[in-house]
Amino acid sequence: MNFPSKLIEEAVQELSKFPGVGKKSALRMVLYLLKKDTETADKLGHSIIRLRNEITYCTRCYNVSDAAVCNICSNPKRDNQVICVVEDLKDVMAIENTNQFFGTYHVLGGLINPIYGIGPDQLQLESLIERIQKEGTKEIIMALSATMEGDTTIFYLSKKLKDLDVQLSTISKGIAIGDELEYADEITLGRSILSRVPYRNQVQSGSND
Amino acid sequence: MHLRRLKLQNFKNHTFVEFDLCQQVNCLTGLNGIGKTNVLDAIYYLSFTKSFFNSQDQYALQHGASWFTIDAELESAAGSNTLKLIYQTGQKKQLLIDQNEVERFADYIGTVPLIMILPGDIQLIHETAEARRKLIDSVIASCNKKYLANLMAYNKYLDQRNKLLRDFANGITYDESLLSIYNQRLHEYGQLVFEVRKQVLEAIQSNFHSHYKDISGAKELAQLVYVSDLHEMDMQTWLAQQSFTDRQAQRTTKGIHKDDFLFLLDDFAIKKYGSQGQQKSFVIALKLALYDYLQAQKGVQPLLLLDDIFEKLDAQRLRLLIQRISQQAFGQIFITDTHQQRVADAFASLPHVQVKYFEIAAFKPTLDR
Repeated sequence: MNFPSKLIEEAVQELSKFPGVGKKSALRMVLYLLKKDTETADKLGHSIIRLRNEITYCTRCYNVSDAAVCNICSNPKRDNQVICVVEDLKDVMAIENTNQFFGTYHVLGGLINPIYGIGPDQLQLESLIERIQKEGTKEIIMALSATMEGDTTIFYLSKKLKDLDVQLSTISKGIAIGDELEYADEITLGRSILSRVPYRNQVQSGSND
Repeated sequence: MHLRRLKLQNFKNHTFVEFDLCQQVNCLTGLNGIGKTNVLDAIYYLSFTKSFFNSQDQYALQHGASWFTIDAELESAAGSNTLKLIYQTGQKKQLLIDQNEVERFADYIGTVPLIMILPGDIQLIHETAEARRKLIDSVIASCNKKYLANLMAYNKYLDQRNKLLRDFANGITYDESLLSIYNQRLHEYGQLVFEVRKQVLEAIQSNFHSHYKDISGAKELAQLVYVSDLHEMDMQTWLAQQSFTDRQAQRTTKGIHKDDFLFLLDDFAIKKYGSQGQQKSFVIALKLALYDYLQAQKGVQPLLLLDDIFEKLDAQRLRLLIQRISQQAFGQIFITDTHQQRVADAFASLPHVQVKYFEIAAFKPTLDR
């Protein structure tokens, strides 16, 4: 792509580094900013600079936080005895949106994947173990992706936790609500039959109860 | 199961070519370099969604073209379906069944089961174990989806473990428990793959003997032997025992990824002691035995592709092979040869076999675009 201006070229270069953003989308963003008044660009620029410089992580759960301890950890209504282990911030937000979980979180910051150069040391695993020992946690809920890397991470943690008096559970894997059985893939269907649960009469779409 | 119509566009040297196929023997004739084998490769594409010869799709494009398509009509017990494979430069390859896109190729493999016999097969004897594993795996995967999934999982865990071993060597702290997780998973998946390979080898053995005897007309005992570390002890035990060696080597030194299939003739390696003729008969018999296995598993007759087979076998072996394949046990067959008359002669004594001939026209130079 040829640009009439070095400034535009530079901005496009930087913006196209975002995941899912190509050169064309980046150019569209640049042109949009040029059309708007300078204040729009100033605001955007400042928010990005502040975002990177001022962001902190909760010292307890390693979730993104504005203070030393995050909102969830400092909320007295949350159950401190239950920790939900997730990969990143996106997962915390997803689980919070369900309104079904009232414990606290622990954000690992990734999953074990040696090929991508991610070993247990790069993740918040050691801090989780220390936290469990310190806080006397009762239950750990592993809410990780149902992938090989997720599985490896759960397996690893289960080995590390086997001598501690803490219950380890994983979120259930199976048929999504509203899905028809015939369209489920074989592995999921097979797994959900193996890990079937006793029937309890409950409203299926129960996120507002 | 058979293909009724086949149409290639911009596929290798064929700008446009269409075939109205018969249910039994289809014979493609023409001079060398006219593109007979390319037609077989197109059929292979419909079965495995990739070329037999090159795993990169762009090599199947005609020079100067930016797309190719392969169209076919498939007749099976389920009725008639159209298959369409589309490749465009820079885009994801698409496969459509009756206009519906197949989302995962792994789910599709096995829909058009196929065995191809070609002159280069003899290399199977001389190549590394990987080539032999690939052949056996591709046949099993065509009729056993779980096998393919297990094998893929094994390979992924293997990659992770090997990377970890390299990391340990490069100064990352040795982590016994992480390694043991990969050991455990490799054990589970490896054992499953091992059991299936063992069963399949046992299942094809007797048909293999009889095919070899028929084609070679000889009395030697041809044998396929499955060689695997796991015969001795299970994967878990190996990994535990090899822990030190693996760390030294920075890779996993034992396991099903090292499996091999030995080709023996009267207990001697055919690689060293077999004559050219014996070697040819051996690989053809192996492929026919795999054909039988596939047929038994799928309950349909796979397609049989015979490339340039007349060049490579002597008259007597050829007669025996033709007799064999013209029995009802085989379904739709594709044969390529330079001389139509030679094929016609071979089938002359078998009037009940329907043979359709396609003369592939002279090479048309493509226009520069």
